[in-house]
Amino acid sequence: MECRKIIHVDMDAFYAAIEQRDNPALKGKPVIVGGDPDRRGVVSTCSYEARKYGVRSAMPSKTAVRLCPHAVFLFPRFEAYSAASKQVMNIFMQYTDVIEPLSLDEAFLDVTENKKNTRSATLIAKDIRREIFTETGLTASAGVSYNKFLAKTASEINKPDGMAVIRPGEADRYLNRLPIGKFFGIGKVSEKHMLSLGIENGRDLLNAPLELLVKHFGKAGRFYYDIVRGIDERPVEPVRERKSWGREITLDEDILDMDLIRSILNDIAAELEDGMSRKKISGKTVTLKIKYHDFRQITRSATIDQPTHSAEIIINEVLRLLKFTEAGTKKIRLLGISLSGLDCGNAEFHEKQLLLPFRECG
Amino acid sequence: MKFTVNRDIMLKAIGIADSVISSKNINTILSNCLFKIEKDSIQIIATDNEIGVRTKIDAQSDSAFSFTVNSKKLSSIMKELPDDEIIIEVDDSMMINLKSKNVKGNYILYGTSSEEYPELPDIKIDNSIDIEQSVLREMIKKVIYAAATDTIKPVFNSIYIVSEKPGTLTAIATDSRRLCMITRSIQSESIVGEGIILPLKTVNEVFRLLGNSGICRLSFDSNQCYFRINETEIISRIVDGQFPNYKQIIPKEYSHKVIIETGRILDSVKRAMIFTREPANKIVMTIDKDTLLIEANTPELGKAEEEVPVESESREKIFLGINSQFLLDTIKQIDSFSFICGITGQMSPVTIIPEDDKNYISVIMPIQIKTASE
Repeated sequence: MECRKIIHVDMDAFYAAIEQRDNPALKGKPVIVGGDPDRRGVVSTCSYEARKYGVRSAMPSKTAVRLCPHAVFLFPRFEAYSAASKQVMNIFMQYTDVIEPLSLDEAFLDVTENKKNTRSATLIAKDIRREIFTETGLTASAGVSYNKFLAKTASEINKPDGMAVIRPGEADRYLNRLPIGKFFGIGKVSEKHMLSLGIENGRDLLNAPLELLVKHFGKAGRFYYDIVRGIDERPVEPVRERKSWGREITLDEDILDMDLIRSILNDIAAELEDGMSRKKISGKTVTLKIKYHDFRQITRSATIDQPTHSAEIIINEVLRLLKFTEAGTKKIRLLGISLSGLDCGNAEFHEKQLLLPFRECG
Repeated sequence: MKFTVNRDIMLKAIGIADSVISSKNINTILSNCLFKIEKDSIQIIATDNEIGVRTKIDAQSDSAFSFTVNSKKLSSIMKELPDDEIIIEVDDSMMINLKSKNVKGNYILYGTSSEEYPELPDIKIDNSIDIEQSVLREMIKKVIYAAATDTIKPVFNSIYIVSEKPGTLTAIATDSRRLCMITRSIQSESIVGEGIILPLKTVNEVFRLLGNSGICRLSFDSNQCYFRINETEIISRIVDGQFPNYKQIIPKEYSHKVIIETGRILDSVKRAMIFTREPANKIVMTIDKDTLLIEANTPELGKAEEEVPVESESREKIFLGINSQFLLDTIKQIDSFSFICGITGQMSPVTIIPEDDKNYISVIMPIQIKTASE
C-alpha cells in the first residue's frame, strides 16, 4: 500500500489570536477569551503571552485573572471565530476535499491525492500555512506524516507558528521521549493509569506487552499498542451527516458550585445557538452530559415538540435536567450539552408546520 | 411493631404510589414510599414534590407507626412470596422483616424513618365537583394526545378543565399546532367556573386510576387540585398561568364542509403515512368535488396516493398539507361512523367534528406547502 500523506493543521491560540488581530493594541499582550470571571465563567482560549503565567483553557476565569491580573479579558465573539474558520476551511478545499474538521481551529487533511497534483505534503503544508497567514493574518501550526496520530503529534512539535514532518521510519525518534500524557487519546485518567503501570513515555509504551495494555485499557489498549509503533489506519473522514450537535467542556478543576455550573451551561447553550442558527439546524432532543470527579458519566435527555436552536429553550431544558443529576452534591469535571434529532433548516422552510393563531394572552 | 396485610391489595396500592416516583430521583428519600400504619389501616404515600398520592388499605396492626422503604424492592419480594397474607415486622432501626406462613426465612429490607419524608399538603376544599369516572376517563382519553409532551410551556403540557355552562365540564388540550376540546354533562351542582390547568403528569396518574364505574371527586383551590378515586387520593399543584384563548381559534364556518367516513380515511392515512418522514409527516389532501385525494411524497423514499370518496357541498377544488400523525391521532378517537371536516384555506385551521358528537371538536393547523409551481 502506498504511504498516505496526512496533514494536521492547528490554529495557534485561535480565539485570542483573532482578538489580537482585530485590535492591534492587544498584540504582544496577554489576552484571555472566556466567560465572565465575576459570574464564574471559564477560559476558552488565551494568548501565548498569557500562557506564560500558567493560564490554560477550561480554567475558571477567576483563577486566570488571579494568575495574570494584567491580562486583557474578553468575552468570546463566535461570529468572528466562525468566519475565520470558514476562511481557513476554504483554503483547505483548494487542496483536497478529504478534510476532517475537529473543531473550529483544527482539522486533518488527506493530501495523498490532491487538487494541485503535488507529491510533497510538506510543500502543501507550507503553502497552506502561508495562505492562512496572508488571508486571515493568523498563524497555524502543521504536522505532516503518514497517519493521523503522527500528524497530530507532529503539529505540536514546533508550535506555535511552525511545522514538523514525521517520515516513515522516524516515528520512534519522536515517540520514544514523548511523555505518555501527550499521546493522542490519553487524557488525564489514562495518563494516571499509565504512570501507575510505570509507563511514562513512548519508550515505556513500546515495551509494554499488548496483553497488559488490553487488560488495563480494553479496546483502547490495542490502539495505544499500535500508535506507538506508528500504526494508525484511521481514515481522514470528511464531515459525515451530523447526527447531533454538541459542545462539552472539561473543567480545569472539579466543581461543586451550582452558580458556576449554571453559568458554564449558559455559555455552552449560547455557543450552540450561535453555531446552529448559522447552519440553520435545529434539534429536538436536548442532552445534558455530566462527568463526575470519579469519572462516572451520566446523560439526561429531554425531547421537545418543535426542533429548536434557541439558547433560551435549550438552557431551560438543561436546567430542568440538571435537577435529575447529582450536580451540587458531587464534584463535576465535565459538562456538555448536545442536540440530536436534527432537522436542517431547508426542510423546515418547505414544510413549515403552522401554529394556531392564539392571540398573546396576559 | 407489626402488621398484617393482604398481599395483592398491598401490591396494587404500592403500584399506584410507585408510578409517581421519578426514576430520576435516585438516592433521595423520594425514591421511597411512605407507609403510615394505623390500627386497622395503612396509608401508602408517594410524592415527587409536584404530585402526591395516598392510598388507604385495610390492615391489622399492633400499633401506629411509620417508615419509608424502596417500594420497588418491597413489591418485588412481596410478589415472590406464596401466601395471600403477609406479616411485616418493623424494628426501631427501621429493619423491615417480611414473613409469609409457608416460607421459612427472613426477608429484611432496610427502611428509613419517616421524619424526613415531606408531608403531603392539606387542601382546603372550597370547590368540589363529582364526576362519573367513566365520563372523565373518556374526556381525558379523547383530548390528552393533543397536549404538548415537552415542558417548555407548562400551559401546553397540560389539560384545561372548565365549566362553560352549568351542568357541563369541558376539557381542552393543545400543543399550539392542534387543539382538542370535549364537553360532557355532569350531575354535580358545582362548577369549575374559573377553569384549572392540570399538569399532564397529574392527568396521566388520574387516568390510570379511573375505572368504568364509580365517582371521582375533584376539588381545587387556586394552587392545588385534589382527586379522590376509590381509595386513592391525588394531590397536585396546578399550572400557574393562563390557558390560551381556545374559543377564538375554533372556526365558526368553513369554505369547504366535507363528510368523511372514519374507518376508511383512517386506513388511507395510515398507509400514506408510511411514505412520509418525521417530524412533519406531511401528506397533501386535495378535495375535488366528492373525492379526497391523499398524497405523500418523500424524495429518496417513495410516494403514495389514494382516493377516498367523500361528500362535499363545495364544487371548488382545494388542497392543503397536513401532518398525517396529527390527523391520525384525531381520527383514532372518533367513535362515529363519519365526521365533518371543515376547511377554509391552506393557512387556516382544519376542523374535525364527529357527526354523532358535536361536543367533541378538534382543530389542526396545516403544514405550509410551496405552491409557486402550481
